[in-house]
Amino acid sequence: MAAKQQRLAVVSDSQVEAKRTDLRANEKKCSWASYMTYSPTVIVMIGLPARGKTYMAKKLTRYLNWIGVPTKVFNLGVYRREAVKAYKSYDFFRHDNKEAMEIRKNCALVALQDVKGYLNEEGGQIAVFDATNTTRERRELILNFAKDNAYKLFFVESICDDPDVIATNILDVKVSSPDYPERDRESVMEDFLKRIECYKVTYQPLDPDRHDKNLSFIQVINVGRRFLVNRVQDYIQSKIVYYLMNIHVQSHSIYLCRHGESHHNVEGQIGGDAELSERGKWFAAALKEFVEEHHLSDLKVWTSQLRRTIQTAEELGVPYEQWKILNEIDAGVCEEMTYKTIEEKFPEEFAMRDQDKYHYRYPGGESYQDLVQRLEPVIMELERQGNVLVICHQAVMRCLLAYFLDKSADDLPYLKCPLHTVLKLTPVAYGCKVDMFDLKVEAVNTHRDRPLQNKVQTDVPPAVLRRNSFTPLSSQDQIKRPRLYSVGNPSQAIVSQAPTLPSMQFSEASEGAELLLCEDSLNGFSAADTDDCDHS
Amino acid sequence: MPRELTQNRIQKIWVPTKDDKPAPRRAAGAPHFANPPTVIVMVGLPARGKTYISKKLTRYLNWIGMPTKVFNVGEYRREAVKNYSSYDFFKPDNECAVKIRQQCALAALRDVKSYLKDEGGQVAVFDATNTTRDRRDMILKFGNENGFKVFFIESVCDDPNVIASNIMEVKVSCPDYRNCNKTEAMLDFQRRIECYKTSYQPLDPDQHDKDLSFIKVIDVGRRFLVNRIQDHIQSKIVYYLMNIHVQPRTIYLCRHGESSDNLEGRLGGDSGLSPRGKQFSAALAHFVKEQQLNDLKVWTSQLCRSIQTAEHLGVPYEQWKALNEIDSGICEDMTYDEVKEKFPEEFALRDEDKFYYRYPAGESYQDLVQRVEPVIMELERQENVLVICHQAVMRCLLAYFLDKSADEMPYLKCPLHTVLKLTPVAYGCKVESIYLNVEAVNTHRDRPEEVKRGTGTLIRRNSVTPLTSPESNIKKPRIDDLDEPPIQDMPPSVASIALCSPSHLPLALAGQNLRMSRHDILQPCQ
Repeated sequence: MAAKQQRLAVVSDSQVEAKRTDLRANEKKCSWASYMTYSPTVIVMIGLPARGKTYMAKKLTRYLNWIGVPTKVFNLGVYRREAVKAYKSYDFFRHDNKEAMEIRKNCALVALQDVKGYLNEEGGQIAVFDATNTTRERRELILNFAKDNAYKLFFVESICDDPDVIATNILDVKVSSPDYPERDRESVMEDFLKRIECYKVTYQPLDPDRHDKNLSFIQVINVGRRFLVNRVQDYIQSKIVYYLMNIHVQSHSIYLCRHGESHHNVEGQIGGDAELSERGKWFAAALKEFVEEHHLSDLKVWTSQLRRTIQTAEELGVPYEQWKILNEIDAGVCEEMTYKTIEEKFPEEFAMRDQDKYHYRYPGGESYQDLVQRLEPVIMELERQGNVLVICHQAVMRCLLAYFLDKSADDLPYLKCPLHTVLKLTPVAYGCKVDMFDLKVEAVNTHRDRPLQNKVQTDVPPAVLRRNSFTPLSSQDQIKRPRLYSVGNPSQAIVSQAPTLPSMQFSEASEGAELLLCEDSLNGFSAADTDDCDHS
Repeated sequence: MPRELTQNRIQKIWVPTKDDKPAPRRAAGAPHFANPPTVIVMVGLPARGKTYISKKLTRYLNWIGMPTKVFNVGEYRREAVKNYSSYDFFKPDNECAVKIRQQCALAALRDVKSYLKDEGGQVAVFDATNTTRDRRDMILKFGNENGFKVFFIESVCDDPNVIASNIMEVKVSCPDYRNCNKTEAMLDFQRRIECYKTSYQPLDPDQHDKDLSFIKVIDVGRRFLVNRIQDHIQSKIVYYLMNIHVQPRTIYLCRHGESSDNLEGRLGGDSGLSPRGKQFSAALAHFVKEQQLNDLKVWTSQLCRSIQTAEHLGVPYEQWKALNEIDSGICEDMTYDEVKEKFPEEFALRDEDKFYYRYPAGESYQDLVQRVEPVIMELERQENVLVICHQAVMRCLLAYFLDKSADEMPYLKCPLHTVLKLTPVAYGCKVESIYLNVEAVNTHRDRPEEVKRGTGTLIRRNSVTPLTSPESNIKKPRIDDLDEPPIQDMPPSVASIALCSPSHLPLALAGQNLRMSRHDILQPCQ
């Protein structure tokens, strides 16, 4: 470490200093993935109802935001429910219902206006247009819209004829839809199946051989059993395809925890490669018990290549795999120091980290942003796998957790991941359920709260600041609005010029109210966030 | 009971000690998802780029540390039948020839088996037309009996231009047509394709083959159909195939200009350019202009010296942190002499096995390969790119393009102020080395003499070490290769195989030691 410190001194003496500071100040904050997304892209979902379009749209959006490409879902259903407050029955979706057709088309136009506002004004890079888009006419309209605005288009069509899958889908997410407030399950199922029939009449799937052979798209067939990929144009489309090919819908749980308490933890030192403390070993034993109690069949165990995680895994008596990329954030010149020492030795660095913890890179080390990029293959593989227990480190666990819970770059470095606590993540409907297990072995607290003086500023970032930055946002953060409008809500400024819908109203007064919810006890997932599927 | 952990001295990996046995070599930083071995089966008419895909994929898989080898049935056939006369041989009703071809396939499969079972291979690429269901069923059965996973790659292409240029590029120079002129060869080859067409049964995703794992590559990557991916490696293969393209382009690799740390012989660090380093940057700007490339992308690392170099070019550039120089941990900013003095043991360990050696709190070449993998993937996607990077990083990238093994990679020569121009040709990559005439210090440390014939091969047995893509066995008939799989278990008709001339596809390489001793690395040690 001495060498690294010395290096810092040498560098700051040298003539390059000016240049460096300059670089640092102008450092682009955007992620690599964002860099590579040259022109704004509209991802257009296609498919009959209950084909998992919204599931894919939301999941993809969460992933893209996490890797640092600002993305937002525009769900047409939400617009439609705004326009038509009371849903009666599938009659509304009959293709010969002229009045309803008009309303639906208007909704699409409003949503597209919002897409435009998002991509042109709000710094968005990808908009996911989540609707059935089952007719060529509708897709033609979108193609023209994209052409006028110089957006790239990528279609994601979900095709599924397995009745069991469709039924499960309806039961999972549709019966709880606001369209069906007080009905019993069977009539919902019946109505919804009829609704699907309405769409079937006019459904024109993408035709890779003739009509649509020049479009860029992926067809996801029978829930990922098969894929047809046509004319991938660029980096981000290739990433999207790779992601969609790796996700699956089998039920599984991911368990995240940190290593047992280490000697460095006890001393308050960061980084390093210390061994477990006595209590750390007790935790490892408690973890073994936990794994046994939960009867986790086929559980895969992953660790980093640092001793404390390997020691923890060794106690379990099961095979495990080591990933170097799960290693703790590299604190560079600050490795093995306490926060206090850092504050003394590098007061400026210390202050900078507090200012923008996500982007702050330790001299000779890493930032959270670097970490997210490093961890991407882990996420990809977690998506592929069944039950996995990941024994990792505080900063690493925060990054992984932020992916599953859709947390923004702002919140990510302050997520609470205490020692000796296991988080169980189970995908449900459109989100992820979190169960927390405190294994009742005492440990030091390694969490440093967000400094108070910055709290106000960082909690509610001024719109201007956010606008053109490429900081990962959570999918929800994209629209800080009351929960009722939490998906696909049009931006106000633009609505005024857009085709208006008579009954569309926005309660501006309550804007931002939701924000205050996020800072409760533990990452805010104790209550509200455990259910991300609230799409009302 | 938890086992005691000891740190592997070369790789700095914590491993449990069991029964005093030395811990086995670990895979790279990521788990290797120990799967059953995989047989990749190419499917498609002749001149559909099967061999191109096979070779390229094999090179990639070897580079990421997955021992892979191509088994090209055409080569077996050429062994069995020395003198190719004409397309008559491929007529479906030529019974004698059909029999020979069948036996060649069997011989190749036998070699696949011994490669995957006895020689530490993980992936075998079975490169043949495999256009009939009969043949594919036979392979499936073979896979099933041996516990190998089978993944098909079918190349479908109907564009006559693509096919014609394919034939011109690689087929007319094939040994089959040694004594023909180009037109004759072209004609014969087209007839050969017709022979296959009559019996071609493409993979059928809807019915017959719906349960198989495969990818159809349609019209040279314009479209893909992917069916039932089973595991990590298949998913990686699919991603790779979706990112490669065949447009002609050029990749330029160079290091930053000489830095002040270079002058002092220091490792790592983040120093600025020396005056000569700045001269180089200017020369590079001139060079880039001369090349007259439209749409040249320039990539740098996030270290000062590579950015300063790019700044001189006056064109936009992009910074990758993944291109940063190898992290030499506690040895950062030291000279080799200082390292030798302060950490004599570490210094010696690095010489012992430079690819695996991880600096304490730093990285190894193995780590580096993993780190730059996304760069390779993106390079494959792009067209003309200039990468301004660092010695160790450049060696890793170069090893990918030139198919170099882990043994050679850390000693590849990547001098300062020299641009390597890589152009894809046929199945390989042409390299030109262009020295820009600005003097610089030499930062290359040769492989130390005393360990040149070190124990390297011994530990290599079950490791996942990047290898060069091996040539097929029957093509390396060197007498001194005692480790060659015995030929006697081939069927009689093939046993008469005489040993043939060396590869007909020499790669033109400049500056690099071409003749690589594959058997050094490949051989399973006794």
